[in-house]
Amino acid sequence: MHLVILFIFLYLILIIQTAFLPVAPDLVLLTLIVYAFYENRITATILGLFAGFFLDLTTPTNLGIQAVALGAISYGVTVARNLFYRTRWHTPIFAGIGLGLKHILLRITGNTVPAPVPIIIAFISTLFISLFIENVLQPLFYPWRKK
Amino acid sequence: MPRKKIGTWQDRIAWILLFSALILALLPRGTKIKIAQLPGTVILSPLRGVAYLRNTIVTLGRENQRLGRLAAELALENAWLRSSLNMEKSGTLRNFPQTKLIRATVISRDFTTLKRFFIIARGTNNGITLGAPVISPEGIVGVVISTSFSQSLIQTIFEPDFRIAVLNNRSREIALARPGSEEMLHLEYAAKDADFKPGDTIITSGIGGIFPKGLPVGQVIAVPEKPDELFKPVLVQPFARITALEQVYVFLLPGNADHEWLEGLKPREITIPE
Repeated sequence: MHLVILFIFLYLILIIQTAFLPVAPDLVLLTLIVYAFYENRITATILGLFAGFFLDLTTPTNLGIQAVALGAISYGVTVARNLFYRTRWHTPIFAGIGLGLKHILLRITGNTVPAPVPIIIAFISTLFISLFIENVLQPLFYPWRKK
Repeated sequence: MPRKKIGTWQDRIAWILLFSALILALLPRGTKIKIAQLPGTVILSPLRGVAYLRNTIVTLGRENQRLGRLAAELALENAWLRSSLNMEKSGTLRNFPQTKLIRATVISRDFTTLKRFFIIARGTNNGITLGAPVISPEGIVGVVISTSFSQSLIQTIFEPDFRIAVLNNRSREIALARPGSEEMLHLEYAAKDADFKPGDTIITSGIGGIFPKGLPVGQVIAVPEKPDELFKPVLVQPFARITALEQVYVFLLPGNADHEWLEGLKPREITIPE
């Protein structure tokens, strides 16, 4: 049930992102990072792959690129979260690194990458709302963590 | 010595998943498009719904704006037609059922006062002649003083040289109206004991030879007491709002200069007995 809720929430975020916020802020990435802080590696990776697959479907010729990128970022966060004592600043730091990696990967694979100004706007807006998104998503995990 | 395993079982499953995605990314374009067809239809259907909804909202917004403009235009036209109908039935032209009018749009005004002269988009081509009275649904406006093929210059009631013979509709007292200050008309030559009261309606007397008798001019708003004056001062507020006019009506006069409404006013030929 918990996974279904996470999946539906991610699906809603994906629809909102693609329909209303195509460039910034990157709500999907933030959601995946917050998920990765609390979930196990398989779940986080699957959710990352699904989100990337959804974004890839909007441009079928690039199928798999964003899936690999977001899956790898989700997995990377689950690995990296155990290396540090977590503070509230980890979400924006991971969001910044994840966003940078995503754009680098998209550029390497020859995908269409936005111009510098939209990327900067995406960075700033994503970092700006990262703590807010984390606070919104945290209640999804507390009931199961108490068990 | 047992072989050291790399990562946990969760790590290995995650790697397999990522590797599968990487293989998917490396597939040829055509294969990708074939693979994406069915999942794209299913997974992206809500997105298509949202896009359709957005397009519908945008289209409805534009349609709403267009209909709003259309409604405003129709309301304006309706008001004009209604006022024209009232003018013909019970108002300004009650006494002149046979009068032919032509509607004209105001296209320019004098740039100093905006109320002394204006130009209308009708001219001799439309049958407008010099000296033709110009009215609005509310009352008299002025007179044509110059015409060209498609335009005419109108002298309004606020032009300082404008004079018009008027009549008190209640007491039938006559006077001569001239433009005063602050968009008012002053009545001159009203007898000292003439019966003018605030609220009286002033109409054209028909004596001047330009305007037919009975056209509404304005309403008496003040009759100040000035014992030293030779005549009674009367202030009249014109019915027509000259500065707000967008369209006016011009009388189409017959070809000769003799106006029909002057027929009854022509002095009889007097023969002096020898």
